[in-house]
Amino acid sequence: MHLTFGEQIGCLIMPTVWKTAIVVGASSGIGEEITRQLVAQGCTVAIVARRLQELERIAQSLNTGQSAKVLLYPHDVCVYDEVPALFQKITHELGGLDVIIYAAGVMPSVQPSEYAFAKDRQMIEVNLLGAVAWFNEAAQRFERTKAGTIVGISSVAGERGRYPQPVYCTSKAALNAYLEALRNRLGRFGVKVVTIKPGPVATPMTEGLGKLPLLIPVDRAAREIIQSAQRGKANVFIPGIWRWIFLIIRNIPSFVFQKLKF
Amino acid sequence: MAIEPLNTPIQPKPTERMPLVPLPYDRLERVSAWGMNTSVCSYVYRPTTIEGVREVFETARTQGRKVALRGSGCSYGDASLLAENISLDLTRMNRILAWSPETGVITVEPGATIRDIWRYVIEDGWWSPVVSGTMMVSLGGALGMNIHGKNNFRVGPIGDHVVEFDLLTPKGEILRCSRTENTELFYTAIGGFGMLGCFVRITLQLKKIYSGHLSVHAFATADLRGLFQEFEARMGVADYLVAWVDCFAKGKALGRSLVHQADYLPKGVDPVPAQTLRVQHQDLPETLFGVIPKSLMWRFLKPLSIRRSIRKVVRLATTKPIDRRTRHLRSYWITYRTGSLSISREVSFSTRVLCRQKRRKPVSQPN
Ligand SMILES: Cc1cc2nc3c(=O)[nH]c(=O)nc-3n(C[C@H](O)[C@H](O)[C@H](O)COP(=O)(O)OP(=O)(O)OC[C@H]3O[C@@H](n4cnc5c(N)ncnc54)[C@H](O)[C@@H]3O)c2cc1C
Ligand SMILES: NC(=O)c1ccc[n+]([C@@H]2O[C@H](COP(=O)([O-])OP(=O)(O)OC[C@H]3O[C@@H](n4cnc5c(N)ncnc54)[C@H](OP(=O)(O)O)[C@@H]3O)[C@@H](O)[C@H]2O)c1
Repeated sequence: MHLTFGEQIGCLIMPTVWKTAIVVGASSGIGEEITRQLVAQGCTVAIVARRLQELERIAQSLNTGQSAKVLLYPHDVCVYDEVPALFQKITHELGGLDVIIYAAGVMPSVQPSEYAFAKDRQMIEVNLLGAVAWFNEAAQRFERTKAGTIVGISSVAGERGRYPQPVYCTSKAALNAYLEALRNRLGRFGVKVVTIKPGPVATPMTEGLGKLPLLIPVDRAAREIIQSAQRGKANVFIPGIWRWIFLIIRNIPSFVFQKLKF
Repeated sequence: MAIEPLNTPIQPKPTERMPLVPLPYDRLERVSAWGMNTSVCSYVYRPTTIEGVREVFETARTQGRKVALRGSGCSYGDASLLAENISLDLTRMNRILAWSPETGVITVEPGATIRDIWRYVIEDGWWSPVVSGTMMVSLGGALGMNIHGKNNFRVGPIGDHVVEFDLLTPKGEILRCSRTENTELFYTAIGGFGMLGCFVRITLQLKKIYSGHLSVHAFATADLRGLFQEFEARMGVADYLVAWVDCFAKGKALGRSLVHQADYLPKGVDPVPAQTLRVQHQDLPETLFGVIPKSLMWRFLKPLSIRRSIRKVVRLATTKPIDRRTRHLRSYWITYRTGSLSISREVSFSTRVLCRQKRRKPVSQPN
């Protein structure tokens, strides 16, 4: 069941080549850019999101060659019951699965004294429960086939419960814990589970939020995400500087943190 | 008759296109070709009855999947693989259904291997007419590929020895096929790569033998011309012929080989057939000289199994004095155990390469 020493060494030195991928939340932003870069690497990508016309736009711009490199599946991640059959349909049509990347996420604007359950619920459902529904399928498959990579796009927001976005932070912190547990379950089968924690990235999600610190373009974010996932890293900050910043933020004592509106 | 190929997608009705109940994950396995260079993930089903095979076909139909039949999975390439579809593994359908020691006609399920068959019948004095380089192949796979042995020039491929078989078609019908019944299907399904249906019952005519030994004559040929001359001369008389070609030889020596000719012993030659035909007698000892486990030998021989040392061994063998060689050749008429004609199970490949090279001695030495 476990990898032999030789296989472990093999994993370290062999460059990872992904031939088949699922990207959930691929109709815009980080997910879309990851799709474009994977297709450029020669990977066939199944793209999943709600907006069909956006998926079609991406597929049209990428399916230029003889064979389709992008297969599209309109789906709302909150319809959890649909996931098992859809996941199997996709793996069937892809002819395999090397990696699944979950990039679906929402962050509605929340006022400092606003407690809107509808928004909160949506964040938990899309950012967390949808990921659980999709990754549970991938986990079962990868455990049986003893290979595969699971990439969860979380956020630096999950590092601490912060003033502006209580439930967004909650959803990402919970996602981190879930991914860590998955890694502990699946690592022994040779499956890699990667937690990606981006800082601000220029995408539709961050449009109109004013000037954000250390904002990076989406193509750089996608490139770094793919690189570190192919190396099988466990926890990745995008860009790497956030690791040190959040090392400090994590250690701010609570009585100080309460005074901040950060 | 209209034959529906198995590997064209079984078209589901539109409403069934997305099955609500997905295939269970505990069926999902990594399945690889014998060479282990290709592997795919498929949903593996291992039925034990014909009804079970039919159910798998039905599952495939409702799920909109294709089916790849798989016997022992000994095909080098991807013949028994189909990614993300259903792998129908027949190894558990390996019962012997009927055996007649008088006529040598045996009826088996498709998962029975050639090894299962000879072990079952040898004590009655019968042997599989065709044995491929490995005897672990299932009979279904052997028919699917119409395999041959090292006696192909005498007896033809295994299909020539099939009396009849039952084929389960993708529609779920069972068709009995023989040289007189459903003949077209009989001749196309043998060697049909499992594309026309699944063999579920196979009847085979075996070969009568009078000893568990073969008489084996080993000799060397100096070049390609010599090799072909020897083969032409012996084709009509030898029961088995096999040449191990020295691939290091170049130029004039190209095709320099060690040839083994093996013949069945006629009735009465073996003084104790009842003993030599015992299954245990066919099993090769697991140790060398009664002490060194053969399973360890490859470790000692592996460092030697490099180009340079093998070349040395070959050169050593070819530069030995002529008289010693002739003496040796004269005394080479030894009897081999029938079982060891098939690929030896215990000795690793590298060991065998070395042994072959050591034994190789040319008949005439170019001066
Ligand atoms: C070491 C070695 C030596 C070999 N030497 C020889 C040799 O000397 N001569 C030779 O001819 N071949 C040789 N082979 C090849 C081997 O004999 C064939 O590949 C054979 O078909 C393997 O049988 P299998 O049971 O493993 O079938 P699989 O590899 O599992 O399947 C082979 C094909 O048969 C089909 N099939 C399997 N079961 C059924 C069924 N029940 N009904 C219908 N179709 C079915 C499959 O769909 C597939 O297309 C050798 C292989 C090895 C590994
Ligand atoms: N941008 C940043 O600064 C930043 C920073 C840290 C972390 N992140 C995280 O990175 C991920 C991607 O963010 P992004 O910036 O690329 O956002 P984005 O451009 O808004 O894209 C979000 C994607 O999620 C999909 N999605 C949303 N709700 C969905 C649902 N119910 N069902 C299916 N798909 C749904 C959207 O597709 P449809 O609308 O078509 O369904 C869209 O493709 C998110 O998890 C986000 O939290 C972003």
